[in-house]
Amino acid sequence: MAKDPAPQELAPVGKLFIDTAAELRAALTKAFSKKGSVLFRWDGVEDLDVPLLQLLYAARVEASRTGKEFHFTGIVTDRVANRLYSAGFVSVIPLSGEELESNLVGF
Amino acid sequence: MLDKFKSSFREEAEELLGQLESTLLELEDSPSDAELLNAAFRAIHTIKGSAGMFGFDEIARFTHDLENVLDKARAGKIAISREFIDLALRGRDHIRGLLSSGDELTEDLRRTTDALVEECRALAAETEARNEASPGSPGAAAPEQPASGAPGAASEGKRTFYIRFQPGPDIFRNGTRVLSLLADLAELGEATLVPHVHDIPRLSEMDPERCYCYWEGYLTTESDRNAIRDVFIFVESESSLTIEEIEETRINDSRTKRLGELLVQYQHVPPEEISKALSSQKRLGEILVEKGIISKDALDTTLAGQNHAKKIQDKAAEAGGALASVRVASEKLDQLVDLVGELVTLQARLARTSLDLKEISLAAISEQFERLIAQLRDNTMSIRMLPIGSTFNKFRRVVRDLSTELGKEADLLTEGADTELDKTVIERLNDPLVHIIRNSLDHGIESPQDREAAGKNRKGTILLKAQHSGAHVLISVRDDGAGLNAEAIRAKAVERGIVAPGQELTEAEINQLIFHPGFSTAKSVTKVSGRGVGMDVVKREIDSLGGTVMISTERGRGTEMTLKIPLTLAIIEGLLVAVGGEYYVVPLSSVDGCIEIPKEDLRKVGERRIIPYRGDLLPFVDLRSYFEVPGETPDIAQIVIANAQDSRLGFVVDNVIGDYQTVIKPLGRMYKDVSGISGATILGDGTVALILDVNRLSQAVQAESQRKVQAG
Repeated sequence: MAKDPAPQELAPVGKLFIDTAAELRAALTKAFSKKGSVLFRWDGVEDLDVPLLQLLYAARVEASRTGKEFHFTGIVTDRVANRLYSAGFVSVIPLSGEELESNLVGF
Repeated sequence: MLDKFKSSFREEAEELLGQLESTLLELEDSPSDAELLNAAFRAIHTIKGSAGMFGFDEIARFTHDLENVLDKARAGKIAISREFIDLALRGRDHIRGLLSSGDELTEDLRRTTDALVEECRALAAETEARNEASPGSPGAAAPEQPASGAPGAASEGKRTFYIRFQPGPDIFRNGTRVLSLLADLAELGEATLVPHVHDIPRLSEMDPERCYCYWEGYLTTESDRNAIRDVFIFVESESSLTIEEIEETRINDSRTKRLGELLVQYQHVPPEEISKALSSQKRLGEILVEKGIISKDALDTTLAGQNHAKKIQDKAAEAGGALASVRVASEKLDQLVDLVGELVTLQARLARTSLDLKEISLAAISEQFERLIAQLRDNTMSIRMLPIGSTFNKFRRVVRDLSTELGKEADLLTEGADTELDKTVIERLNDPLVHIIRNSLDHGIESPQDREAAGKNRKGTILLKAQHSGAHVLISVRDDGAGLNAEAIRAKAVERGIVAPGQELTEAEINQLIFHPGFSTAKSVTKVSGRGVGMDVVKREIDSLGGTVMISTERGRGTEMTLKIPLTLAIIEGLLVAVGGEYYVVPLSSVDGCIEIPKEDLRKVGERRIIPYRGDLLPFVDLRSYFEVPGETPDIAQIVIANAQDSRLGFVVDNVIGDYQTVIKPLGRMYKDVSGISGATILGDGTVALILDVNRLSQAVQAESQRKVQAG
């Protein structure tokens, strides 16, 4: 029986503003070009802005189009969760990546 | 069940119409006050909505056109003129007429509806035509509502704004952190934002440094529009920003209406499409988006509006500890007061029994019971207390309409509108106050020409004032008119045979003549007054309330009528006295003191029976002889001194028992003409005690002594 390929995990660390956007896009593109599902780990994300979110939405579209699995995982920090809540991206404060994935508006 | 809702609707509509009347009258004085215009619109909008829901079709039909006129005024398309206020007030009166007609709609009412609808339409058409000819016409304009958004929700002291923020595509490149801006916005109050993300392209095609999102949403805040704009101050030039205040009516709609109703109301979707979509098993919003009838953005924003309204409502309920007040039918309150009255009577019986049995433990229970009953009584009575201001508001309309009719100019000023009185007393004060105010306008306030000639302001003033005074409320109506003409009053009284020619009368006695049945000094009978019925009605009604009327007047300067009214008619503190085997209650608020004097000191000076009291000589009534109670006055007589309308008098009794919580019971028809008694109460042992009408007894004593003087 063929073994499922290991998921491609992205685990960025730090404050993810515009200066990291290009690098993240490249990382996501690379992950989608490989076999296996793609996981985005939230543990290391200290802060974020809209460019990261746009990339994640675009990745979701990419996943649907290519039939790839794309999921969130890890712990969402309070700061990140509050930022998402006040901007209307979630209607409940998410604790985990899984919870965020299921509550992110339009995701 | 429907009847219950209809009845609730009637009550609520009556309340709204009451508010509407005072709002319109205030608006006439301040035509540029947009808040007043909005309040009038909201009242009509609410009535229209509920009328349609509960099957009051004629009201719904009529209010639709009235609302339309008000809405045009809000948009600045109709100026706030006297004509406009007249029409709105007549519309308000007509809705009241329709409400009270019940389910039976007369042909007259229907015709009135048609006529008023025509007037509304004509006013709208005429002013619109005028506006087209000269754009930018005056009026109290309110800002246009956002065309696309669903409403937000407001809570007390806060306003709700619709906000649309579309950042420029290069906003990130300038170092702006959009999530940080939106967090600052949320700091201003309660925000519900919807990010629109459907323009984000595919990963391979996107520029990761470009902004593809925009936001719509609602903010309920104590801050103003400028404070909101300040959040975006550094990005406004490169972004598109809309901030619009949301009407409270829309907020209410958002709380109460379903998605379909909202989408139709805000013209996102025609009603027939809603019906079609509802016949499917899917969610309405999904179907409409799938069919391309509305955009996903419009749906999301409308839903966000609903959520926001709910969120604000929940917060307000949390802050206020759920409901701040509950509407209760007044009959239920009356029943409660009756039951408390029964409890008070039962408590008196328990106290009496415990005294007879000399049982200590029972006496302790009785005392505790008495304290609780006293608290229950006070709480229950306080529930029935209402501010008199609700009645005051009605009189603004009386003054407005009547001064127009009489060709006079007058303002009504009010003071002490928050003074509280028992609701039954307030209800019964309405007619007397209407008569007094009408009289002030008709006979007191002079014509503008006469006032100018007398060196007065063209416009007269009527001051309506209420204040507490012990267990009473003093309500005065003071005008700055011509004052009472004592000679004319006296001459008319002689002509009518009310007083004998040459009879000596004090100023106060002359003034009191205007309350005599059939008295009037008006040269002609007008629709307003002049039949001499009004002031007679006033006196009778105030007497029946256990109150008094006092007049003070100054020729050329004006007249003041003061009504002294007991706070309540249900339960009073009384002084219980006994004469032979009979019991009487003197209202404690009238009692000045109690004295004992030997029987032989009850003197007669000429034909007047008097007693010495604190350096004065006062008339007295021997209750034994007045009410023909058998037996002899004891050697040491007990006398209760009471304050009557404008004098004091004593009541000779056998025994003063002490203070007594008196539950007032009306006398049956058989006893309605018994002079000197205003009601009855039941004592602890079941005995009936009569409540003395101190004013009537005082008048009877004076009349009796006058008769004897004239006969002698």
